[in-house]
Amino acid sequence: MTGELWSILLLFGRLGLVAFGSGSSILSEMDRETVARGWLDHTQFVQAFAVSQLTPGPQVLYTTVIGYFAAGYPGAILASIAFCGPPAVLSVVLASLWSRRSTSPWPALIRRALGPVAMGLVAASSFALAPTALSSPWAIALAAVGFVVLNVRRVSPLWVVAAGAIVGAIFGSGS
Amino acid sequence: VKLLGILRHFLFIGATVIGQGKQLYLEDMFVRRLKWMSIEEFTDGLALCSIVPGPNITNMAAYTGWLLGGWPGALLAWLGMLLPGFLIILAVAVVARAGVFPPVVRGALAGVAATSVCMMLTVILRAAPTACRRVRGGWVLLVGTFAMAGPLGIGVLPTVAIFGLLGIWLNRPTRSSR
Repeated sequence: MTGELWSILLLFGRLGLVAFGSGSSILSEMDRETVARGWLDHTQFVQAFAVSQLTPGPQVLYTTVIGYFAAGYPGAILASIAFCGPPAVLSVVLASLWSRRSTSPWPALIRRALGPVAMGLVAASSFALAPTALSSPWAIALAAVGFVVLNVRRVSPLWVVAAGAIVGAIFGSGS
Repeated sequence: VKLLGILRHFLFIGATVIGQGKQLYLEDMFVRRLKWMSIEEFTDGLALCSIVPGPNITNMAAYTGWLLGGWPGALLAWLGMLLPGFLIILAVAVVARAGVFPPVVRGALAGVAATSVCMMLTVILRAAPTACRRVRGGWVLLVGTFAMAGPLGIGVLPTVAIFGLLGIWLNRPTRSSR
């Protein structure tokens, strides 16, 4: 393995293990570290992040783009696996520890106690997103209609996202 | 659910889960449509993902795959969740290495972002009552976590440490319940 690939493995492996909440918590550090290594410039970094917002799958797939810019196809594969792999292994290990039959009340208690915390983090993410996402009247109207449709008609969220993309392409392309 | 079924379902989910409100899409698929888990198991999964680093939806995929088919299930679910987006974004990176998005794409991007907010609020509306009813001080933990990680802008790690420990302490086993 070349030095560049080792560098990708170590950097993305490390950042994946400190990205609590979501991938966006380590965005500034990722920007600084990858630009300093000369893998891409800041504008390319922002573009990579923007593309990852519109592609399916985890929002952190900008790591794939950075890996590709740094070391071609092997770089893209390695960056994605190094960032998303170790936390997934950790999740399953923790889940299997939690589910062990034991007389201790603690595993179930910890799991239950963290439920509201997880919900609070979702609320905090929407708060962080709202100023940018709801910065125009049409975007606010879109979110309000989407909320009503999701809760009254119970349609699949997929349709709401698709409608959002179409409405955005029509009303938001001038901005 | 057979292993190939897990891979097939997760390839579909991985190819169609877009935007920030992914938790709602996963809840809709896992709990309502595929009936793979109860809302309690889903909330447990989200709780697990909140204390584990890394992207929530690949972690949720591994957790769900593990519930359905052990470690092979976890691996296939994780791979299925990652692969479609990986291939698409790699193709974009290859074709438009330093491309600038045309206005229509920027508009679509903004539309997707707006719907993300209503999806996040919907998943809170659906799952928060269950999550909060099961614990003492549930709503205090939710609002406190939101305030600290949201408006106060304090990092996710200290927030989870403080309110996670507070939640555990508030709900510790009492002498009579042991």
